[in-house]
Amino acid sequence: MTRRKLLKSICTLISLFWIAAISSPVVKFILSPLKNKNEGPKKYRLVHLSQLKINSPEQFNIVSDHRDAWMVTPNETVGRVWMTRTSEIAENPKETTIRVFSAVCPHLGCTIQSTSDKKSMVCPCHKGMFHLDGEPISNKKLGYKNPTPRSMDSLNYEIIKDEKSEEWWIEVEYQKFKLGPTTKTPLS
Amino acid sequence: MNWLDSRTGSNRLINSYKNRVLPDGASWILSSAGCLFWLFVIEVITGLLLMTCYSPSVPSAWASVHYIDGLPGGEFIRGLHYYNSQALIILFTIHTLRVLLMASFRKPKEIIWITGILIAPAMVVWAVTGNPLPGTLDGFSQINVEGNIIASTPIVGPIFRKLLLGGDEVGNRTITHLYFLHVALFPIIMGLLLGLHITQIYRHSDKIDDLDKSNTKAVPYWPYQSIRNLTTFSLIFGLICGMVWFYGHPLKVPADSGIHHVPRPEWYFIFLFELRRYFTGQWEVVATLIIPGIALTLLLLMPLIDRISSEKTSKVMRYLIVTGGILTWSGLTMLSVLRDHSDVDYQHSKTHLAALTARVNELADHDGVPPQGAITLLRNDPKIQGPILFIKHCSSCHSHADANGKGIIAESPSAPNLYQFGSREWIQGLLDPEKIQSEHYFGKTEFKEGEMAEWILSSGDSEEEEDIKDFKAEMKQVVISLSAQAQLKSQAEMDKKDTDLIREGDTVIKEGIGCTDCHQYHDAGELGSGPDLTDYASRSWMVDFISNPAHERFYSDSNDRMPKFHDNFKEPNKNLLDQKTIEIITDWIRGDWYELERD
Ligand code: FES
Repeated sequence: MTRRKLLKSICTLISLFWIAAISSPVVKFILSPLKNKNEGPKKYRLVHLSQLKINSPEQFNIVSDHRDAWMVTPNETVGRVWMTRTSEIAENPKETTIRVFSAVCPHLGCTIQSTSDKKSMVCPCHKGMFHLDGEPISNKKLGYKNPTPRSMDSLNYEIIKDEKSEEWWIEVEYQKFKLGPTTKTPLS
Repeated sequence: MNWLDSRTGSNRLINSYKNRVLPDGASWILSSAGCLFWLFVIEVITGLLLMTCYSPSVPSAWASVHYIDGLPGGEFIRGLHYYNSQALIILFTIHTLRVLLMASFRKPKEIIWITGILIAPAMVVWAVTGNPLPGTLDGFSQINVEGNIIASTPIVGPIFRKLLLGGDEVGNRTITHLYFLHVALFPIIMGLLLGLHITQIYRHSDKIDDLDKSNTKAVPYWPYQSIRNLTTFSLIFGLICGMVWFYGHPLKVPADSGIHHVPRPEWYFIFLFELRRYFTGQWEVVATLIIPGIALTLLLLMPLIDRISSEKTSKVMRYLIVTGGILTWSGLTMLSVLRDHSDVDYQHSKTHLAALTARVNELADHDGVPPQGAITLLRNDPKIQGPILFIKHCSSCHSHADANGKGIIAESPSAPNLYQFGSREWIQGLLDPEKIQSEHYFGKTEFKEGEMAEWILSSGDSEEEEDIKDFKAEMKQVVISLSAQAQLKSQAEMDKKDTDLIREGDTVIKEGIGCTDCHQYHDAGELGSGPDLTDYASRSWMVDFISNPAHERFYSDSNDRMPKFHDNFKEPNKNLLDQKTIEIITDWIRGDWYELERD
């Protein structure tokens, strides 16, 4: 090996060494958003059972501290749900039936609204349409196909009694789901 | 010059411009290139100027752009940046189509063509990364949807989305990421592509020295083509300036996921938006990825395709691509526009947003933007939120409608109509024997047969004409005086004018006709039987009343069905409403909000 060749390879080696050394923090830094873990399901008390309207969907906000990178905003709306009471308040309030859906459209995530007659739900972005029970309304017409991949995402809830005030509350387990898949899959 | 040239070689650069000749003569069609160059320069200059004031974060983005609009020339420069970017996109498309038709991508100009075709998507993405930067609702929903489209790409999609948004949702890091892309990465990419594009053009263009002397059509580029370039540029840029001047580009509503709206992409993307309607479900990638991908590859491979096909087929193909492209683009765009045109919901949302846009700019001009960001301006504005909150929380029992029934009508009215609550008219109605038992007042409540109604119905009855007249006059004073307690904005002038009457009325309330037998009024009477009349219907009175109508100061035990909206101070989140919401509803009922004075 000539002296010149040796020097060349040393130069290459030194460069490679530094590239390798620096790339680890660089890549980690760039990929840092992937580390962002989604919060799992969390419970929220939303409304008195007695205040929930019967057979007419109503929207409620999920209010919580909202962390956005370096900023935490207290009491921000972090999600929305649609709730409907579908039976009279039962003798044992726990047995009252209600429907609870996330307002996030399973298509591309816009906020689902109720139509003005409150007889169905509609997503304004690409006209995803749903029955009140969350099932998609099918439309075969070309260019008017319902874009939603699945029905509205139902959420778990519990009807519980506040020990102090003796009021019955609806407690909803709010969480987010993946957009797009034909079955409901929690976002991890 | 020589001094500089001997050190930097700068003359070589200048000469390559000076010595360039066009063998077929100058032409207007060719001016698209030079024109694009100058538009590009303008985009960069206006962008740099905007950077000096722009602040990339969720709470500050909108505020800083609003501030820019208020600076001398600020609105104009921002408008230029906006319209100019679209002019670039349009002109670039025209430029590409004309190069395609003229087959100017043939050997040895392939690299010019390829860089050009790569510049196209880069430029569009560059523009797209800029749209959400002002922190507007439109911008945020666009990037949100774009993120979700990216995420629908198999396998790598979700990862790219997360990297772009800087997390799972549009937020601070989305803005810093987009800002980085918009002012650093894409300018570098564009600079490189453009640099290569232009040096290649000069490398392959004819020079004065190697020109065939017999060619009589040939003219030097400078100034024969340059004058054409500058003329076209002046026309186009003049048009842009005119649009900025006459239409401007008002800063839209700041992003707030609580505002119901129907988002649409920028006009140049509407065709893709429409295309997606025909490919739903797992077919969506066809519209978002496969079709645009194929189109791009086809264009990139144009030099190759041209080489293997005959002159005639190539020509037919090129004309087909151009007409087909234009027709598809405009056809799909038209379809979507027509559809939106007949979509009531969309039209409604458009006018609604325009109203909000005007309002939020008014508020920001008047109050400035608080540190939490412009989002709070509309959220805390009684004018906008009042009706919404009233419908949500009050209108199951209360109406808020004028005498003609215009306004909010309760689902099943079972409590007083609160239209102009506390005003002279309202109080006069309450104290009117003919009205107190109507459904606008106590008609549908337990108080219909209560002591107050009874008192109103029985008082003032007398044999003597004189007594009745006196009583009526006294009641009038009571109305004026009590209504002054509310300190309504709408009555401020009247109250000021009537100070003497109000003072007299005060004495009537305290000593005259027996109000203080049941009510407290400043230093007279006691709490416990009827609501406190001190500061009746004032802001603080109403806030306290709504918070807890069954308080000793108000209805105590005789409170009808009105809920206590905020009486749990130990666990504030267990209340039906928070303090702020109650204040907004109160301000709205009292007609107390900032209104821009128009002349
Ligand atoms: S996001 Fe709801 S229909 Fe597309």
